[in-house]
Amino acid sequence: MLRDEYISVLRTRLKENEIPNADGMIEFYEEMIADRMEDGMSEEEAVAAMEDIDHVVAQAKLDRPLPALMLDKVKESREKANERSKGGLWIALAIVGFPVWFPLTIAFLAVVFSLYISLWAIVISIYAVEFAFGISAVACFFGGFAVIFGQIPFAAAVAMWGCALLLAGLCLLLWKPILLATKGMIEIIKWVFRKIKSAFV
Amino acid sequence: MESQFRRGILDACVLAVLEKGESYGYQMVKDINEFLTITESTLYPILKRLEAAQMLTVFSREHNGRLRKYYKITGAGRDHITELMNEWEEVVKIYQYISKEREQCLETNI
Repeated sequence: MLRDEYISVLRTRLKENEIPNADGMIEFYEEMIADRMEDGMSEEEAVAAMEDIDHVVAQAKLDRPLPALMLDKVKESREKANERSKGGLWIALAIVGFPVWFPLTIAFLAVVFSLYISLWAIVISIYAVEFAFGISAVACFFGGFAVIFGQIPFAAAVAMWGCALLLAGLCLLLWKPILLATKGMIEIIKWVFRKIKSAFV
Repeated sequence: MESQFRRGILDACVLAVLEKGESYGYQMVKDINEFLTITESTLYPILKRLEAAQMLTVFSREHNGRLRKYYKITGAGRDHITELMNEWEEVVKIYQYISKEREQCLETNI
């Protein structure tokens, strides 16, 4: 395969699969082939050293949203059925099976959505704890000044200031672990969703 | 190697290569492949991700009658490497602790 053919096939496949920023990718791959040729390879060798187009497209597809990947699978299945002259059967099965596949699809998307929300809820709750420590520290600190107006005994004011110090300390101490935990959670969320998406690629 | 862990390492490798000086796609693939396998389809999303995170900048320069894209590390990219290196030191400490514990455990079992 020569450079133009490789790039043309890649362009077609990327456009077919509605890959975002396909032009940028094509430019990147054209440059890779040109650099290989400059490095001493022949055009055929440079193209042969490139990755398989199916693999490139599969990797790029992972950047697409999950519903789009699911739709692609449906289209692919229909095209395969059409190729085998079973397009009519495919449509008939899709209609007859609607009461089964439609609720299952909705349930699957609902599970994925709830998983996404739950994982982000963990992140938000971690920050809520941190925020609660901070706010409580401020409240305890200023609350202690109620002793000036004789609303609370002095011992209670000292206890409140002590609590304010303790809470402020916890707030500061937990800041870095919380940042690390958040980063970890974001990586986990990305990993989970790449795994789910890879099932449709 | 676990994929997410590998992604983190590859990000660091790309930034480390760029810390030596600006570079282009093919050169980066060659440099990184000396110690870790990387392909174009792996490198491209990494470059896009790092660019979006403003850890590197991209510019085009004429080379042998064509435009070639060059990548340059930013201050945020350098900070990211420092941060990763600090985290890595913690990972090494954990590794050493686990190795020591395992050795002791194996010795006890023998």
